[in-house]
Amino acid sequence: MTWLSNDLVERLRDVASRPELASDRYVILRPIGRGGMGSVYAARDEQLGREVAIKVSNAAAPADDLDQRLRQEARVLARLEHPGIVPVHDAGLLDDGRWFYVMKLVRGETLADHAAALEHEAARLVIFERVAETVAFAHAAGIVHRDLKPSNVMVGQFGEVLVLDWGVARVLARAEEEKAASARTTDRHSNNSMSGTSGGTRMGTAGFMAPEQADGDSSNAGPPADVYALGALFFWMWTGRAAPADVNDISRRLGAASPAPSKRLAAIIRKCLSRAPTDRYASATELMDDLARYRQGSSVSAHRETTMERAGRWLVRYQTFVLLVLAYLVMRVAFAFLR
Amino acid sequence: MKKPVIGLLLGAVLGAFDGLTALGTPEVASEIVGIVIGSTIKGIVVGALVGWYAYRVQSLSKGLLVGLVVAAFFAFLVAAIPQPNGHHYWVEIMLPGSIVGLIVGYATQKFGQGRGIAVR
Amino acid sequence: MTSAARAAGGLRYACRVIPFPATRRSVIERIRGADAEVRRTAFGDLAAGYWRPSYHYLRLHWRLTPEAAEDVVQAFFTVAFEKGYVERYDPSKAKFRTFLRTCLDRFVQNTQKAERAEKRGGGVDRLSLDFPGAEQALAELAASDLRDLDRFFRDEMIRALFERAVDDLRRTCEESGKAALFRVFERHDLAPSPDASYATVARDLDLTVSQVTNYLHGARRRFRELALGHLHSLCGTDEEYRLEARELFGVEVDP
Repeated sequence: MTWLSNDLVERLRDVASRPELASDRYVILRPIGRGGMGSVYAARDEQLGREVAIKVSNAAAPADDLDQRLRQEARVLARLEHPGIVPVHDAGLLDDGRWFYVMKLVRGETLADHAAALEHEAARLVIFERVAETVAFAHAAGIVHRDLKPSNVMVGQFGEVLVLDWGVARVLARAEEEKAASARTTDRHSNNSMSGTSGGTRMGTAGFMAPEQADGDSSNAGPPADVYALGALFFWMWTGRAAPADVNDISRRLGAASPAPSKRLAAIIRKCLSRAPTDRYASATELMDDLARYRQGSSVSAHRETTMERAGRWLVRYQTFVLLVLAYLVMRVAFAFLR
Repeated sequence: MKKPVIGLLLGAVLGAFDGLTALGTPEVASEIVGIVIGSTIKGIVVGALVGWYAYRVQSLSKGLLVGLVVAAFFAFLVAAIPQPNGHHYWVEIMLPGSIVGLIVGYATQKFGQGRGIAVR
Repeated sequence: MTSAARAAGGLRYACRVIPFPATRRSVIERIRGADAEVRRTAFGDLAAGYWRPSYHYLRLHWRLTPEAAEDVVQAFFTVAFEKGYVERYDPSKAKFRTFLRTCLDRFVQNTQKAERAEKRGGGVDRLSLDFPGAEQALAELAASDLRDLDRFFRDEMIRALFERAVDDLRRTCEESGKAALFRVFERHDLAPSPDASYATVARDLDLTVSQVTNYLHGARRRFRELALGHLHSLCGTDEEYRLEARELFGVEVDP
């Protein structure tokens, strides 16, 4: 029997695990990571002379469910041209007929690893708004991510923020078409394969998954499900933990955070994390609008202010003006006293 | 609302108020009507000028400086007029007047519609 | 290879695609089956896959002499078959290899209590195993970390599995008249130092680079198929096989 050294065993594992591409354009360099659906490798594009990332499905055979999902992911990414979404350069077939796609190689760290740099509200807000903006763009294009979480957000070397892993994304228009077609043909077994999953499938990550997804109804998860996940992400940025199901727990943990978010910001987070989808923002765009109002010092829809709170906010927002008027009044009073 | 209009209105209000504070000076209290009218007109002129500047130049620091200088100048002109008792109220007129100029300068830079740009 | 793959600029293999053997079932399924021949074959696969890890384990962890370790290995698999050790396996408690290693530990303890290893016939042939070869390989394993015995046993199981897959690949390539496929694989992937380029291999074996690429892809895929086949026969359940396949090759198999 052939004797294999430790090095040879490792080498054989590596080469046997590598995807075999059907052309010579891309040369696999090294594995980068592995998820439930697919594995990502760094590769070299010999035609353009640059490094890229290649994602292949973990399917054992072509046309498996995992393989189709990878194809779907590539198509979704190709539709979404946005600075916050990794661009797809190419797609094709492996030697064995499975799908792969080629995308930009992103160098940076996930939000989960980047947490230490998020000490201040300003830093958290910047990152979060970029994620929300990316998701809002996707919602406007009729696509729901369905698996937002810290490990699916990457902060690049130059501070760019990217939302990754659109493997379980749902194309809303296609889902509606398939539903309508299913209703017309009375085919109860219509497969929503191109819109996502068939009913009763649980997709997402615990702690960041909307209640309707956790109940196994991922096929009907719309933009509010992403809003929930965004709220959970923001909650995580403040507390370092996944969001609890109990609203009181959410408030308590936000209050215990150091530093704690302001009342209006905490209200925005709580609104995102509402159990009922109708109680949340209808889309990431609405969330973005409220965040913009928050940054400008205006009132937000998530929080009903008392008169005192409104006055305080107004004073903070126009503090320079208020100080100048106060200075004038103090001067006038001072002159009156001196006289 | 355009910046010159904001400047004009704010200048008028602050000018009138500034004039009314003369009631605290018994020596000139009898002249209060004239003081208020004059102060209001001064405020309108200062506000219009500072507002016009803010309409053309978007710079908070420059707007504050222009507000200060213009208001101080007009306050100087007023303070240079001797009062019935022969005194000149240089400090009592120029200092608060200059601060009013700062207030108008700030407000016209921050609010109102500039040239081609809508500013909340 | 699918027609889609060909249309996508896929490679044309110069060799005939080697048919994949019938899907193997887990060892438990086969050993618990009614067919006596299937049971014997399953046990043979079990012994073939685990004898070397067991031998190395006995030599390094139990510090048995080569002769004692050889006797224990032979006796263990014989007795395990006779007494139906494997049929007592409960997947909910541990992985199959952990169960097997535990059985081996107990067997050694019982054997050491007795004065000599018992060798029984029982309808199972004495295994023809390359103990000298296993002993030679021991030198490289002397520095192994034995703090995690389960990991050590697993690593040895994988080594033995790969060795069988390589031997099977050589044999099947030669039988199908495609020895060149294996030569390329051997020259590139089994070379002691991993610096052979495709061009170097092509020059050395008097092939084109394109042929080297083709053969290498084919051989690697075939190697993976053979290794997965052997792996399936060494796992206690289909679920265990699925998890092991994922960890080993990053593929999701459908047992």
